[in-house]
Amino acid sequence: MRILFNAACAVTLASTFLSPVYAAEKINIATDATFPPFESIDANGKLVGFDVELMEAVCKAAELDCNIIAAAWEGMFPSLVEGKYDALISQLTVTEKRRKMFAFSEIYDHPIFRFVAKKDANITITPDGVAGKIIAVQTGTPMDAYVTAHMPNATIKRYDSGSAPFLDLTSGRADLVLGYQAQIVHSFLMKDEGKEFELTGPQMTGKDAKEFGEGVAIAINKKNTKLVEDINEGLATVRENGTLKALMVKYFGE
Amino acid sequence: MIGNFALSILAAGLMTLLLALTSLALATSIGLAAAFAKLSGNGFLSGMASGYTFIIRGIPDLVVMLLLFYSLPAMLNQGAEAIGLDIQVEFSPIAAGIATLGLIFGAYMTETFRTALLNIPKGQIEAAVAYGLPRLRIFFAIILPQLARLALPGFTNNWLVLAKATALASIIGLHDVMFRAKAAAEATSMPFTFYLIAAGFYFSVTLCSMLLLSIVARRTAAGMRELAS
Repeated sequence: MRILFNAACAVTLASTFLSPVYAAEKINIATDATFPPFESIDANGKLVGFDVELMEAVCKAAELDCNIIAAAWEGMFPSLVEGKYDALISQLTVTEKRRKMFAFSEIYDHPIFRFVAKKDANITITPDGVAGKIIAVQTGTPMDAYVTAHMPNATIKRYDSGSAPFLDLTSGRADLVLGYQAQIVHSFLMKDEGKEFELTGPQMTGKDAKEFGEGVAIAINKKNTKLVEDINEGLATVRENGTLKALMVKYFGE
Repeated sequence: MIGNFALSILAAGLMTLLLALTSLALATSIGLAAAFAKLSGNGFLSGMASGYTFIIRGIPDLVVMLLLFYSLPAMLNQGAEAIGLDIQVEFSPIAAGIATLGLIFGAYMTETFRTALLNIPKGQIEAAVAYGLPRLRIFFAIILPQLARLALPGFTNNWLVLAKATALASIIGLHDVMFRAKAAAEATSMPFTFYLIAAGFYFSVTLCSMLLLSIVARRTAAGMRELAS
């Protein structure tokens, strides 16, 4: 009896600790769901956003059985390399450095980057115009890379979360925030706190500065060449049948 | 909308409590085993237990968690690949969380239990042995009731720290209170509201624990106060 009991305990423990994620042929796709309107968790705990809907459409078009997971940004890249996840979709900018670590699908969007400031701030967006001003950005993003490279005379404040720069802007501790235009409009300008603020300076993309990257794409484990093909095929389908265009209109109004 | 987000954060409280209570059970088991190992007089066992508490107490919780979740499976998989085995070992966030918190707080529990055991008068055990009581009887009738009373303050402390340390598991993607609070904060750009709700949750766990454990303390200490004074 005791042996039976012990054996049962051992099996339970082992199954809890070694539960393989790979049980079925499911494709595990991770996203850092803290970046509306691209990816976030809604009030009902559901993943929503442009990237999430696009990924679902791509999986459907390519007949892949996808499992989209809300993961933490920390460790998402090593997890992809190690095979914990098969792919990542999180507004990932394609860069040379990242290309060395994992494969990318075809680029599916060229995001627009914009500055936002107080309506009467009158700041000219040039390296000289922002000299002495305080710019808040999310750390490790293309925005961070851009201001670091091109605006050496501004004070740059870097934050871990996407929302923190806006808090600094409303409280007056920062003069400018650089972000994705869609993110600024959705998470800030449309809210009460954003009423006294406006987009300023030119619309910028990867064509204007290499720091903004070649565009955004889905990152895929390098070893999984079959998945790269499948996802590209799915992307081509949603591009042709108008799904991608419809999503862009829905989320960015373009 | 705020209400729904708040509800989703509190619903994740189940996950936090599951992690906290399972880790507590594991930590208590490890703590008891290692405390007895340290006091066993067996050089090998006490050496192992000392090594364990020494190493674990010297590494930050976060580092142990990241090592267990990311590095250990990768190492095991590479090892398996090297010897030609086609298996993929993978820890789920909850498993890695329980293992980490169990291991870390097991070390603190070890010290708590060891001190408590040392405070049980040796004469009582010697008397029991002289009366010919079997070892299990000695453990359950003499050691355990006193161990419970003596270890309770330290145990309470460890539990309160553990309950809050569960928030670390949000880093490895466990959908606990902290993870959901962050998600809600970013989805709505209202960090204060949702981090305050999370803070309220952890605080109420602490409050309930303190109430419950003070009742337990009164029970285990029944009859002791008169003796002490």
